[in-house]
Amino acid sequence: MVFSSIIFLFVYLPAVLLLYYITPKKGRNLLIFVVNLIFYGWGEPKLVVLMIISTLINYISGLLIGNMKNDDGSNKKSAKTVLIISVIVNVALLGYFKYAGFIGNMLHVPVGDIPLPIGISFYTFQTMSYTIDVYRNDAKMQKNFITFGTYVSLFPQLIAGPIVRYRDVEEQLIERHENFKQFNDGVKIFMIGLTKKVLLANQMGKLWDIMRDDPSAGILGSWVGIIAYTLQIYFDFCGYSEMAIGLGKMFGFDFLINFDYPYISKSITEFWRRWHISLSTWFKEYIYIPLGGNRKGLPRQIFNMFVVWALTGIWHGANYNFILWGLYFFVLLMIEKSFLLKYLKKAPSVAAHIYSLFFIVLGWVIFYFEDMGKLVNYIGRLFIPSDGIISSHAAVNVIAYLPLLLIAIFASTPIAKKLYSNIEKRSWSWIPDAVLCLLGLIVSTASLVSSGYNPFLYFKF
Amino acid sequence: MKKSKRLIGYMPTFVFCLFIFIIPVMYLLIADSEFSSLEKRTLSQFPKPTIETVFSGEFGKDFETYLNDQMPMRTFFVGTNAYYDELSGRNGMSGIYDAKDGYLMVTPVEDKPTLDNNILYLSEFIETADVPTYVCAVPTSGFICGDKLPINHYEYKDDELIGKMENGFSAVKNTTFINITDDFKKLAESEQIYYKTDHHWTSLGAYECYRLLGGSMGFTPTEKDSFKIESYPDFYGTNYSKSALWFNPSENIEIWENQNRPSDSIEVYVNDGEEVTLSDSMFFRENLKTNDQYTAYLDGNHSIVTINNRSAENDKTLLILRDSYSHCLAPFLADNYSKIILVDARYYKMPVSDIVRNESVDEILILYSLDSFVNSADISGIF
Repeated sequence: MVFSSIIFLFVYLPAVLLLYYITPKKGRNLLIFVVNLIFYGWGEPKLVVLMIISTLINYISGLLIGNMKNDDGSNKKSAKTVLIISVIVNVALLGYFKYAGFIGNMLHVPVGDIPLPIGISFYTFQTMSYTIDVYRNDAKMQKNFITFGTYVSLFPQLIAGPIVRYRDVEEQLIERHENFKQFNDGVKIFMIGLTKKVLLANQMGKLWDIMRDDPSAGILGSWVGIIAYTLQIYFDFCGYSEMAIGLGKMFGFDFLINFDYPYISKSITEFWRRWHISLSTWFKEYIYIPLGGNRKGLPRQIFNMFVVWALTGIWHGANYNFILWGLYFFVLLMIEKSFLLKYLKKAPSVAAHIYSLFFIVLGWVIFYFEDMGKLVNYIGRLFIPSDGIISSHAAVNVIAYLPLLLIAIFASTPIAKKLYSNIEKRSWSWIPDAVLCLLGLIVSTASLVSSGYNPFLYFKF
Repeated sequence: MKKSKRLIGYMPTFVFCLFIFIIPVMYLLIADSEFSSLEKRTLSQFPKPTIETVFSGEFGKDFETYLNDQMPMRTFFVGTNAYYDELSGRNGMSGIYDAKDGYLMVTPVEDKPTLDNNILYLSEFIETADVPTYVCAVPTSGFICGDKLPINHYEYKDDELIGKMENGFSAVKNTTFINITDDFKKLAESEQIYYKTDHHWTSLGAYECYRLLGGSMGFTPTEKDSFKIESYPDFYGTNYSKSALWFNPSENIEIWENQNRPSDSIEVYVNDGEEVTLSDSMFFRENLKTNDQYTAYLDGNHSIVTINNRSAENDKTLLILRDSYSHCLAPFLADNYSKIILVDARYYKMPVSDIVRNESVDEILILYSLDSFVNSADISGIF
């Protein structure tokens, strides 16, 4: 199930909210656990089994590790063994469902068609953060299976993140203080996310489809196309994260933000501090630092970064282009680290912005095309004006989508938020709040009802 | 005082909850509808869950389709979206332009390999049939009434495509291609030859085409003033339904009946493959009361319709390969042919050349909208 759907907004969510708030506090985790499984299994009920197996494995690993560590320390070695086994099992599950087809293809071994369980990349990383944290004494083991299951399968962030570390929600899992203020904030954040997804991302997606499939769009048309995709992927993903954060608040959870206006970055280094923060944090904490980070000399640091970025790439999908995409950023980050960052800081900010956006946008070309031939072809369209500046057909589309393009670009900066914060201080701020909420609901619902067009990009991951 | 102030700050919560709770309540209270007259299709009903369908995920999918189809205030939401799209700059992105003077026009037809295929297969058919054949393509209203279009629109290439057809049929024996675009363009300056809310031509448009056909096919068209024109209000065509621009005004739909024809001379056999029904009129006026008013002409889409006119000026048989544009045209031709057989290849899958032989057809008219010529996969099935 996705949030931006009629079934979620008008069946699942009202039902779950109602049940949640009439259930006594003690029973709420159990309720959430059950409805999580319904949410997860909605499109593919068999997946529930996988979810329960994954939860059980990590629950038991956590218990074993925790107990061994609780002993006088003599069992530290066995704790480590359990941790290693649990990590291997997690990675193997993820590897099987996500990468077996790709690897089989690479080695010319037929492996058959393995459907990718939605959200597996997200929840596998979540559960690994738990066992590792228990091992490192950063989190206490969770003895209650329901509580642990609630964490693993928590529906707001189950299928598209943010990747919530166990230790960040440990207390909230045990005791939440749901209140009106938090709920109200949740509604507002959810609405912002919903409109980003439905009214911006989906429309930008349509423009991208049109321009991409029009080989004679011209050089300008091709750039508008990939910019539309740049906006689509941001609003899709950021919108989904915000819906998750908003929903979390409605049920008394506080998740950390996942996107911080990435497209205003003045360097690629900054971009990766602002884009998909929970994923970068995860890689930093559980891969980069354990590998030694920057403490073991430059050559080792370069190697560590290479590993992290190759993994970041492959995490996004089982294909060469994703590895290439990760390594593309590895190279850019290395260049910035070695000398460019110094100059970027001194350079006029316009230049730094243009530099960053150019490479970010180009990165999305690599990210989008899984077929190398098509990838090279599209890059050609961006740099070789063999079809002129823009065809009249493409121009009609650009003009038609121009208002939304401009709105989307505006919405990817913090300007609107700053402007609105002036209103939020006023006593009458509830009027625009409520009006915007209602309008957002009506127009988003209208869009959902009208078009079966609601593809969700991040299902791939 | 302070408390009320704080409470009012929770207005978004109130609005949000009201909205997401009121809609499921409406789902439960409002009875499901079976048919959407605007979309002209049956709506999906609540799927009965079985253990099998639930576990395969099929129930989930069907349930979502059901929810979408039965959404409370669906028409309101679909309309809201249409106006939102237009206001945010994307007039026509749904496939229909909101044009001037209440015109709703289909976006341009784009060239496809289907067109070349259709030309090829039809040429073969004409060779087999071996009787004088006339081919005519009806251009789109957007091309003919181009001055009504919004400023930002795709280019209409009807003349190019029709030119391509004219070329393609030029070498086929027994074949005359009738290009009506120039005449239609001139006519459109002063007359309404297309409906505003529908993709079809008006009776006037069909009549003007009939006159042009007369020039090539060698018959004398009935004069305009022989017709008694009945005009019916509140017509909303398919472009209106597709656009969802509900505030667009309705228009009149007309029936042109030849007053000089003896009233008992017409027999219409409507054959939908299984059943044949006989009627004494080419106009099915009771259909004007339904939501599909255009079916007033020859009762809409059927596999084979035969019109016999005892008082026709000669004793010739005409076969028309057609789409719905001929529903409105054939009644005019009935004055000049004693027997007209209309074949719709979407439903008729048998050899049409057999009909040509068995019914000793004298002439064939292949008349489709340009859109059908370019997009219909059924035309290539004619043999």
